[in-house]
Amino acid sequence: MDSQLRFFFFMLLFLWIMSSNPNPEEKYPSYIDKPEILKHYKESMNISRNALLSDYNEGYGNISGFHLSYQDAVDNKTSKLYPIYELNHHFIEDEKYSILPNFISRQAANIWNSEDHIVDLPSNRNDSEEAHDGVKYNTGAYPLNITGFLKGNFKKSKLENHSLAPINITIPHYLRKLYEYRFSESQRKRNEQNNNDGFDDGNDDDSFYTAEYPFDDEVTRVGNFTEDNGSIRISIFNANPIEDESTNVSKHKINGTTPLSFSIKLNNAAETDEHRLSFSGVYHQKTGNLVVASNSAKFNGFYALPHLQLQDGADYEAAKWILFNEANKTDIDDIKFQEIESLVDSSNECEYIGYFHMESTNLTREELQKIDYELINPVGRPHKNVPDLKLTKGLLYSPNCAILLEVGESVGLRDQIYEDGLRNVILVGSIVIFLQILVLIRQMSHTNTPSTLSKLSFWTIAIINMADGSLSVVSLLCTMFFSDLYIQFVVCAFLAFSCSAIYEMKYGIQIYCTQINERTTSWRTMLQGITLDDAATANNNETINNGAEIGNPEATAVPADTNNNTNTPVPPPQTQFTGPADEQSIGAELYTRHFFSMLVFLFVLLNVITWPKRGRQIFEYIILTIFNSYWIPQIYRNTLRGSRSSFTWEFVLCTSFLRLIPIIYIESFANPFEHHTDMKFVLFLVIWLLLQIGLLFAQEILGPRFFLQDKYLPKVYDYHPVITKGDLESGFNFDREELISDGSSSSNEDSRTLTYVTDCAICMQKLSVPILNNSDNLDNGNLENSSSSLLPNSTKTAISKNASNLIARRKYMVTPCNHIFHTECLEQWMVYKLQCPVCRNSLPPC
Amino acid sequence: MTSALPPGFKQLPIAVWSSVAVIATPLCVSILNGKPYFMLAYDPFISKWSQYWRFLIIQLQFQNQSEIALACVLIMMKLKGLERVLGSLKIFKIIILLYIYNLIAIFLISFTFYKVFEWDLFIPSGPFGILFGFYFAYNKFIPNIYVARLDFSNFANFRPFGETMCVDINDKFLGYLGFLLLLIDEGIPSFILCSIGYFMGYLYFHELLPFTDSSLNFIDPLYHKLTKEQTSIPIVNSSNVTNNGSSLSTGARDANTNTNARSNPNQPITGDVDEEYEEDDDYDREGGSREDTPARTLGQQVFDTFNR
Repeated sequence: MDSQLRFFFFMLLFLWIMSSNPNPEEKYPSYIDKPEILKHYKESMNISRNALLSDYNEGYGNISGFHLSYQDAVDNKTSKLYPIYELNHHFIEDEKYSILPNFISRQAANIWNSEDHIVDLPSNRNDSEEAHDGVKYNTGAYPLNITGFLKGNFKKSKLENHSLAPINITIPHYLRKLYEYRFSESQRKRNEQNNNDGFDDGNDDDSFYTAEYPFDDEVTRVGNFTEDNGSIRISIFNANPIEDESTNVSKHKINGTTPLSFSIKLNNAAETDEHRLSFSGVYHQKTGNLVVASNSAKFNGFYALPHLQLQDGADYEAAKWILFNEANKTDIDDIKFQEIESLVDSSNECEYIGYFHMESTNLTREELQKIDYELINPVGRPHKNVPDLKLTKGLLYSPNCAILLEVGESVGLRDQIYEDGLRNVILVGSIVIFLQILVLIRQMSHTNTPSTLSKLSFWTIAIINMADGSLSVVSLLCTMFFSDLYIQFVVCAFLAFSCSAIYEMKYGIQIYCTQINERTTSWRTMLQGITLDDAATANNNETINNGAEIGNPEATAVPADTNNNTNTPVPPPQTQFTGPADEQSIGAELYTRHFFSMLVFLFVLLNVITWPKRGRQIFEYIILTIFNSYWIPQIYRNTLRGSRSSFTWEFVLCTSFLRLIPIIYIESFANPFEHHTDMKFVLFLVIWLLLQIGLLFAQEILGPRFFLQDKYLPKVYDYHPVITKGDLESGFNFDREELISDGSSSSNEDSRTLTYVTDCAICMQKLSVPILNNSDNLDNGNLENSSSSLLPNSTKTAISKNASNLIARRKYMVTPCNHIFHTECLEQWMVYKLQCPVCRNSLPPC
Repeated sequence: MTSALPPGFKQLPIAVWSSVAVIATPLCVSILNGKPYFMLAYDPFISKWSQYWRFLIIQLQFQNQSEIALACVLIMMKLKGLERVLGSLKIFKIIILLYIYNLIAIFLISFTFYKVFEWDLFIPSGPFGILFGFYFAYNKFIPNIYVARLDFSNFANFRPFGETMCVDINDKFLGYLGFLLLLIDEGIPSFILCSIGYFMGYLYFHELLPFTDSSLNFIDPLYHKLTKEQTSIPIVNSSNVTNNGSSLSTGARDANTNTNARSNPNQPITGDVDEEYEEDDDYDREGGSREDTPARTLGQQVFDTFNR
């Protein structure tokens, strides 16, 4: 990819990111009077706050969404009739007055009574369900601070014995135009995205404002869970868990009750359907009970929370005062229009009321207090182990959508404990990366020469580098989400970055530079050296067959006239020689490529996070399998080069093991990343890596091409062939005067050892090549064209088995184009160029 | 022997390791989230929770970045000279001894303040005492190289302090400034700790404490084993230092403790070494004549002057 194209993509990405910023200041049409709406909203807030201080008997008061009782809804009354009852009526927890149907309030009371008898519902109401009282599970107190994250399951109640009528909840009249406008705008944007031109905003329909059937996409409404069961993730933030002096309300009124922020995420099993809801609530530390309610422009659950305590008494009083205190933290004059906008936007959702019970612990209240003090302000004070948070059971009831969700046991950890666990995992991960760096440094010091580097596969290092780079990017990204673990994530990111961008990149560049001269060589040339004769034949065949097996122009050898003993090679007409790039420019190119692919990978990864479970899983399988296939390129390279040893075994084993550790941990054990366990995949990866290592080992023991049969394989070019007198006469630029006999007294000329003395074209020094006298010996073999071929074969090998010959052969190298050089000279030359120094014919790597 | 220190940390392993430790320890502690364990006050850590181990670790790291930077600068620019004077092994032993003496002193002070004065003294974390123990040695053993007199007599007619308005600044001026900052860094607690440290240094270098470095001779083999691989060239003949430097009689009396000499037993220890060194003085380390070295800029000269 050239730099202009890269720049274009980058700009496109940049513009896309910039354009996705929403406009904070919304412009409204003139019929929406913002100051008027704000004024009304403030008045309504004032009324709601005053309603908080009312007596239990007076009921919810004039609170949005609580104008109708459940019985009213059954009787098809509308909120326009409010106040339906005389103000002097006595509110009791009965569906006649309460928003909760009797069977739901009974279930809620049973949940609250699961460890003790806390709630007494009125006896004079019509109850179809029985009351249950439980016994305490543990001996100690209930948790004081329940800030944490819990996971569990829920099922949607089928309501076999009961019918549940939806309550018609309407949005206040002063917000209707705003609601209509914002809804139509969002609908228009959605339709624009779907390229749907036939949009009807449906403004004429009066029932539009009701919560019952506001839209055509009822099914996609937030909170309208349609499947039978699913998983629930609960996030609780417990404000003021320890009574402090900042509250204006006296301690005896609060009575161990604290305000809550409660948010849930509902998913079906496949995670294709997701609902996120936020609630306000109160938690009673003395009983472990909590009640929550959602908030929107049409349903002001926060102000109804005291009456949702199911009975008058201490809990009601405590909730009343704590919520009044909480509400008055914001001055009414400080309320901004954006708050109204967000409440109006969430009016489209199913409203919920929830009842839960937190299980007691085995610790005393003092011990729990010590834990809380330590977690809030750590000074290293001794304390007992922090107990897990456990919601034994709960229910979520939606009055406007008529849904009842029964939440099962949900378990989780306090936020700080979760972070401690995550911190330990990150630190161990950092140690693993550090060990990986050490192993890599040792490997680098083992292979510091071009010849050893040329045996290594660039792509093996590239895959490892890619994995480490991704890890550093992900760690860096996590610093944004886990502000308390910033240092640990930065350390992890720094180590992974050092490993990736400094060591592995440097190693990759070294390998790349060493092998730069092979880049233009085809795999066939790598496997096989081609003599000039063969090349000529190959060229002819290509012309005849109109097929080009060797596509690389440089790999095509120059046809030379073997009968013509001239030393002048014909330069290949189509050869495009590009000088070897220096390490700096290669480094710059590789770095650019690396960082660009990292950036792309990051965006892909961010996108993948939002995918449903199945998609995520498949992506994970593919990516992890690719990242754990790093020995495959090396096996391929061994095969191509015919080299047995490449990386040290220490590096191979340590790298494989160290890189498997995190995957095994995440896939096999309960971990803070909430990754599911998948033993089959772990087993697959282990076997897959063992297979790769086994193949590498087998290549070292049995030879790099043991799994390929000779007949499928082009023969490897041997740079140290046995040269016969016949070879010299036919293929070499031969001067008979340079053939020297060893001076043996033998009368038979053929039995004498001959030496051919010529000049090495690189160092211009004399070079002696022992020559075998061919006639007799070779006649015994089955060499049909031995006189003209330098290719090694079994017969020649048999002939040349004596030790002196072997050593002598190692001192010279013969190229496929029949040029002879000193071994050291040509090896040094081949580090830079895989071309014959004399005729520029391509050379197979050795 | 030249009065100037060689650049960098050549032949000064303890200075190197202490500089690294001053930076690396807080980093490790932060990463491991162990900062809360480096807080110490008698109440509640000792009186209620009996966490005596806090006394052991309180001197191991500075909590504040400014203190780390200050300590590092002081070690690198000033205190490393002491290692050259006293020898690495001796310095190592003195660090251990000062650590122990300060530990005892901190405990006693903390206990006394709480019980007698009913003052729950907050002990700041860091080797304040050790550094100020060496501050005493720094004053005692390191001579001044120069004194610069700033004459303000003609600067103004206003002369509140008489006719002479001169300020003398010597090469230790920056060191004093650094120690002063460290002294007042944590307010009264750091002042108390530093004073104790200085007092401990005074007692130690006047041989008024029961144990000196010779009582830690059992660590010599271990030290030599650990530093065996480091090659060192004896720049200073320890016996010469002992004979010539009268002011160093206490610190460098034990010539055998000089690591520079001991760590490389094959190297002959003779008086010629000094001469050789001085002869070499006219040449730079690459063997070239100093005439080839470019002239120092004015800024470099000023920096070098105050850097000594």
